[in-house]
Amino acid sequence: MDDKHLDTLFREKLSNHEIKPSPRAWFKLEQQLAENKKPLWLIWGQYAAGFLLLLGIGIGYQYWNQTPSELGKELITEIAQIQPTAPAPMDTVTVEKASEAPPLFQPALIKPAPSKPAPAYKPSEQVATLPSDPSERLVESLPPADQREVVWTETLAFDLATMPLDIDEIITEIAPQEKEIAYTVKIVSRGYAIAPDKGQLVDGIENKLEKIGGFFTKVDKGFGDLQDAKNDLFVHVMASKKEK
Amino acid sequence: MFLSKTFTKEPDIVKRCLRGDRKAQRELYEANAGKFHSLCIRYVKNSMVAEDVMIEGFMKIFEKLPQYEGKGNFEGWMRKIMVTQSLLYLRDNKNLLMEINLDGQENSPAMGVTDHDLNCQDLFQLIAELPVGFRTVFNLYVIEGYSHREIQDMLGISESTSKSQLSRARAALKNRLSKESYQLKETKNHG
Repeated sequence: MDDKHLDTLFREKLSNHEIKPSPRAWFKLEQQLAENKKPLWLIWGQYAAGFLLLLGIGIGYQYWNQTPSELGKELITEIAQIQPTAPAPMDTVTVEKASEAPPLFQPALIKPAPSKPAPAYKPSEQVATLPSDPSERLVESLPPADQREVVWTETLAFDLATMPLDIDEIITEIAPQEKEIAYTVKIVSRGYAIAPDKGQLVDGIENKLEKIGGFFTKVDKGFGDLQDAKNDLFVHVMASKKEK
Repeated sequence: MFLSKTFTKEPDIVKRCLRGDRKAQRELYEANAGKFHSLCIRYVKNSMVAEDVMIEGFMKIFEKLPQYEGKGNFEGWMRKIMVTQSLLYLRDNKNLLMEINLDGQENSPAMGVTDHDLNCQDLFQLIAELPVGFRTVFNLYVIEGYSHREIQDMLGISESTSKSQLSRARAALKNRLSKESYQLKETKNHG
């Protein structure tokens, strides 16, 4: 018998061979199936626990992102240290130039506050028409073309070596000046109302008490008179009985 | 047979089993228990142990039923689970050792059957008396139809070891058959 015939013989005879298990096999299987079946609340509880876990992770992640990291704190500290010492040549230069040149270029940079226009300007021309964008404000407040060239040439020649040319940074450096605006705090109050004199009230109460006391005195006196009259009547009755 | 008798009912039984219908589970069990019990005995040899392995296999079938996509042969899918469960038992109990020689088996007592007694039970007994390594590879390759490459992956042995085990299993069976003077009809028919 060769291998092929041997394999065929065993495959055909045994592949579908059946040996019935004992009757208790099904009961064992049924018991295991019953034990393995999870109650419905446990399944939903697992889902709920998973959902709460994911929710907690999400909230924690969001909270963690909102909290500045140590690196962020260091950067903020460095920036805070750098900002006060940063050179601000634009201010001094502009002030100096403003004293020499016509004052048209100065107010937009030095005193952009709309509440206090520079004395060299007419308020109606400056404060009311200042645009919100600082770059536009600069352009609009520039002097005529011939004067503009002089001012810019002098300013750039002075600042190119030492200061950044980014207009945003310039505006950022200028921006703190807006804090120099003098605010007038006016406290409006109606003051304290004069309280009515309480002495009259006390006197009134005392008078009423005195009146009440007088009333009781009169009652006592009337009661005493009534007792006397009763005694007199009793004596009179007794005397009349004795006479009889 | 389950598939031949209730082929049209198969999807229905699967759906009912998925819903946890105990009656459908019992139907599935009754239709396949004998076949799978026999399969497990071929691997683990002991009938009682094979019954426990079969129960564990059915548990796996019911647990993994949602993963069955309806493609292919449902019985083949269940059979594969049963085979895997049997191999897991052999591995966990450290019974799956590959024998090197057949000396012990060649000296085993004869079966004492005649050719006309040859039936499924005899062949079943012949396989059951093989060493576990021979028996496992012979079952996987010849009865189940796995390739040596698949057996290599399933048992964690080399392909050459699988071929060697199969060769020795065939030799042992031939030796036993010749010693007992089996005259198989198939042998006569094929010359």
